Amino acid sequence: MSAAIPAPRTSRGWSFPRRLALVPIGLYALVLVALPNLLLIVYSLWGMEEGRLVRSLSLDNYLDILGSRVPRELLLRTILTALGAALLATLVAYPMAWFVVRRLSRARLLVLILVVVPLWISYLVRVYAWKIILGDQGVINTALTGIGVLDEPLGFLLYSRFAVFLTLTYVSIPFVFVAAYAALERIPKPLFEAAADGGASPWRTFTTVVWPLSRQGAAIGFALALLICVGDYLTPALVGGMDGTMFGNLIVSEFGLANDWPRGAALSILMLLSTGLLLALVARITRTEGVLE
Amino acid sequence: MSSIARPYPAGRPPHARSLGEGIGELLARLGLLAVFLFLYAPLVTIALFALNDSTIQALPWAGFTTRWFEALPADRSLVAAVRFGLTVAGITVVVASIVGTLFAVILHGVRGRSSTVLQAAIVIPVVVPGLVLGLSLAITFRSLGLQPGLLTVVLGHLTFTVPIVTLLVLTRLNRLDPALAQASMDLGAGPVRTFLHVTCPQIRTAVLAAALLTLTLSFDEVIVTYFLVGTEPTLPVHIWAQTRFGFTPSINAVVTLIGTLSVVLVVIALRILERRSGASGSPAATPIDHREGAP
Repeated sequence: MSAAIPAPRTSRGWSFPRRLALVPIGLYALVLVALPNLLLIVYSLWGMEEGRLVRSLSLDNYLDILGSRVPRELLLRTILTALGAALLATLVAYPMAWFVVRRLSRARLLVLILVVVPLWISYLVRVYAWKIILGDQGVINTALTGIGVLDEPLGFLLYSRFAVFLTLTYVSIPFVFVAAYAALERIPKPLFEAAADGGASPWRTFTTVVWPLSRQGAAIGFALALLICVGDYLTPALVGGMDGTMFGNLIVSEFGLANDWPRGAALSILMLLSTGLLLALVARITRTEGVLE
Repeated sequence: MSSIARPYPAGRPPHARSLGEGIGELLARLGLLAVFLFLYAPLVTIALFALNDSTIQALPWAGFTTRWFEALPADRSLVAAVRFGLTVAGITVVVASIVGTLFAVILHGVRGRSSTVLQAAIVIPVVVPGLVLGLSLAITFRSLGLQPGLLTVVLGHLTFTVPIVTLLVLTRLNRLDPALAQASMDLGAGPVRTFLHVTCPQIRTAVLAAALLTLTLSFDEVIVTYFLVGTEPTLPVHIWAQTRFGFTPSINAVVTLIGTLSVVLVVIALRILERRSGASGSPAATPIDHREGAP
């Protein structure tokens, strides 16, 4: 890589050390990145008593959360749901991206745009739409009872973990597609020809050429989807009902109704830690040596 | 580069297209269609129910109406939310574009470990789940004594838009040919003049694209924003508050309107960017970028 602003060979104009230019970025990072994270940790160690903040450090919040059944189960369920949704989205979007890169030429850009367009429509409303689609009087149930397939509407469609899973998969697909597409498109075409000339079957080409060169892209998409799913409290609140409640709803209720920010901070940190561990694992599994430039 | 591909046993015939492959191709195309049905079902649903003549958002279809659209200007809280959201997004776009571009130029000009560390640091808010970012910012602003409102929302939006602008512009800067800036300096232009007259025109499209992305991100954000608003909500936060009562089809109408508008805007912007890069230089398409083809 090369520097855009070239180091002047004469010293004219640059009398101060160049690294001083980093100071504004450092200040920004200090105030808007380091401070919030630090305060989050500090808050998680504080407590609330009778609506007042108790500024003494203790691990009580953590012990209390990990000691009770509901938050523990919610965390596990949230991670499993998010993992499942991100995985399914990857299983849909990655092959789709592969097909588009390999088989389409003129329609390629159109497909890419069509996948991305839903991202420009309000996230909240896209989720709400599923409520309209999945409800007892919704599009699916009305259609199915209307043509006589069903006598009664399928109750599990809405206000269930299924609804949360489906909606999270839905919102994840475009992100995974874009990441996978970007990675797959960069693979030089002669590699496929070389593999075919060498007698490799399409499957063998995939496992030995395509996947190793694109799995990092797939992993980035997967990680993005996982992050969105883990932290989403809108979807469970809208389509999840009681059964579909997720960990994020717990955090939001501590921020809002319960007004116990320290406990909310502790819950957030537990969520960060578990997500971070998962992502580290994903990065490890999909690590690729070398760079495709 | 491509040492991953292992050598294959010779003698097997190159793969030829067969009937099975034809069927596979057909299935793949049907699959593609199915995914698009899945992706667009909610959008079509919203648009249809914006035109449905009933307050209940369920089938059966009650007839065609445009009254939800006509009622929009009279809905004061909705109009106020749109206005506040646009104010937030407007300020965010301007500040994020300037600060983000500045950061990119600095990070590009100053190499080294501290530069790399800072770059990673400012990206953290983008990769943290939204509600964790929201809560941590709410705690921070409360500790600093900032009242929830325009300032806190804009600051919150800056945390995830500035790094995006920085990364997009930095990617473009990395692809530029350093020879142009060097030539400018050799001819006696200072760093500022070189930046304004040589570097700026080359990164203009990247900054524009980033600003556009920032606009849509800011206007639509709800997960972080929810933690930062005061009494005035942005549009998505307003909608979020409405959903607790089950919102009226007027929300469908406003979203359909905004969705259509933003898609049109994006298409226009893409056209402009395309034309401009065709004329004066997307680095990938012009002879400016000859690094890869250089002898």
